Amino acid sequence: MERAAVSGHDHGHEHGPGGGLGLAGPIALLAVLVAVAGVGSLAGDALDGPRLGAFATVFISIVVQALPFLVLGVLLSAAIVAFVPRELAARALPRNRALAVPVAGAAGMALPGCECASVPVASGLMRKGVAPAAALTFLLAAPAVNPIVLAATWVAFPGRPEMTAGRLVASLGAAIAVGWLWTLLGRTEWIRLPGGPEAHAGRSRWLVFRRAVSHDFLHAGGYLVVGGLLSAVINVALPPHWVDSLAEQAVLGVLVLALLAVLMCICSEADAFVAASFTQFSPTAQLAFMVVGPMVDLKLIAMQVGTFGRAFAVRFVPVVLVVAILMSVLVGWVLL
Amino acid sequence: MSRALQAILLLSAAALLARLVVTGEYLFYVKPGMLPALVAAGLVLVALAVLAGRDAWVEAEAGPDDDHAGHGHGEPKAALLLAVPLLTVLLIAPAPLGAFSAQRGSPPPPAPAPAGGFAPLPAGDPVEVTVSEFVRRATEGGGPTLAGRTVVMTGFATPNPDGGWWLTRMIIACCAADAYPARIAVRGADAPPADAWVALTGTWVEGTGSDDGLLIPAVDADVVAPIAQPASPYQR
Repeated sequence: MERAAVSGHDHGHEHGPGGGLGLAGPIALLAVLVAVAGVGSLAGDALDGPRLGAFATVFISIVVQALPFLVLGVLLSAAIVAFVPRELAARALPRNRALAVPVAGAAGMALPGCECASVPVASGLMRKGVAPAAALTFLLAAPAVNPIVLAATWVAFPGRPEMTAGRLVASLGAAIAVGWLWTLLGRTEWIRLPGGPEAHAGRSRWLVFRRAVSHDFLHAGGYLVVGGLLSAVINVALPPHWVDSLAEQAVLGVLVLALLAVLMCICSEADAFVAASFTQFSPTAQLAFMVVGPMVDLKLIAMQVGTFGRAFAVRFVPVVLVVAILMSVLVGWVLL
Repeated sequence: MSRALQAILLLSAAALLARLVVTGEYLFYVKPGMLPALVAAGLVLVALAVLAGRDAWVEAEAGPDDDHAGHGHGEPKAALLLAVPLLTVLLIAPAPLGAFSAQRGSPPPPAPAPAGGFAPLPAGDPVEVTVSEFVRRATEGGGPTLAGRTVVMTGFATPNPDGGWWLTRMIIACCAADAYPARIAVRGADAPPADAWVALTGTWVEGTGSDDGLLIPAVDADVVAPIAQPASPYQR
């Protein structure tokens, strides 16, 4: 039944429901298997109470922390889709695409949300005809450089304002660089937006709005759970202090903390405190942790696969990761 | 995915939030300030679930309409995973992070002492302080404000892998995924079971905390009394 319904839908819309469909089953299954295997194979005391308990607590906390922001994000996104006139969305940004990208990056500074909110909002902007390059720059910049995040960084690195400045410059730089790269090389057909309630003209705006909210929430929410499961496994499976021995090497240190940022899925409002705890690492490595985390992590990758499709994610995620690391190294070299 | 199934999935996300808010267990996962956001998100999800349920009902009554033949817009099957968090909470009793995580975590250096040094602790004998405040005063500025004072602190017991035990408290900035421990080595008292909550009355062992590079000060325990787990198990 489910399969028939889904494939029927696939043929019915130009903008199919995205790579998410073909991939969703396998990814979901994989996540469950990894989670079960990860927890199950840990040491001899496989399902020992404390480890399982910590796993469950970290998993639930990632989901519970993200849910309000995800709801806010899908409400905003649906409001954009249902109520903002197309002309307004197009006119809000400079016509010149190269110029629209930095403007979108600056706009990202004003939205004090976490990364969970910005994925659906970027999708809503694209569905309204905003150039993908600008929407993607917004997607990357909004969680990375908003005032709340910068204030948290200020507090987490007392007496080291250069960390906050470095984060602002490197994150904004990486977001804009990715936007420009997309302007040069990106192809719109890689992005497969969730087939939308928007497609049904003639329905009331209210109906479009509430269908879009449920639809976007279900789309991104399931993938959020995937990211939370994977990240919670990492949290309880990694041996403590495994990274300490790698801290001495300059290059490896940056790569290790960038990788950790991807695996740990910490909210951008909290990651500065965790970055500050990596005291053995160079400031540049700590900066890379804070620049990469809000742009690329397991939960975000999963949600981007669900929202924009696999063809998009396999291109976008590696590029963002490389640009974010390079930008951190560059800014760290000049500033720190 | 049928509208009825969509309604159930939306409802399961709402039920997760409802349970955690009603029982106060949300404090095991996120900071107290998140409460209004959790309530608001839960209400939105309930409303969406009710509307989706009504759609399912209307469609069942009226027969499939042309472009909504009983299914939505290809919600990925990953959406089924929205039921997993609720199942997890039902199957694995919610508990705050404890000794397992306190042994593994590594804390960032405490915030440095204020410009003019720490203000003296308030009057009181013993005087109540938090574990993280005790650690900060001992490690930053050498602990003159702790010298000669009897303090009482609440936390849970964590076995030190190298012997002895720590009085610990997990510190969170946003949620339990970013938690790190504040630890104090306890001297002069037998170790309670791991994860047991206690109120410890004692005095700072002068010189500990800043000299060893580990940032773990020590306390000489006078009394270690078992207490109930506090409603808000984490500190900021």
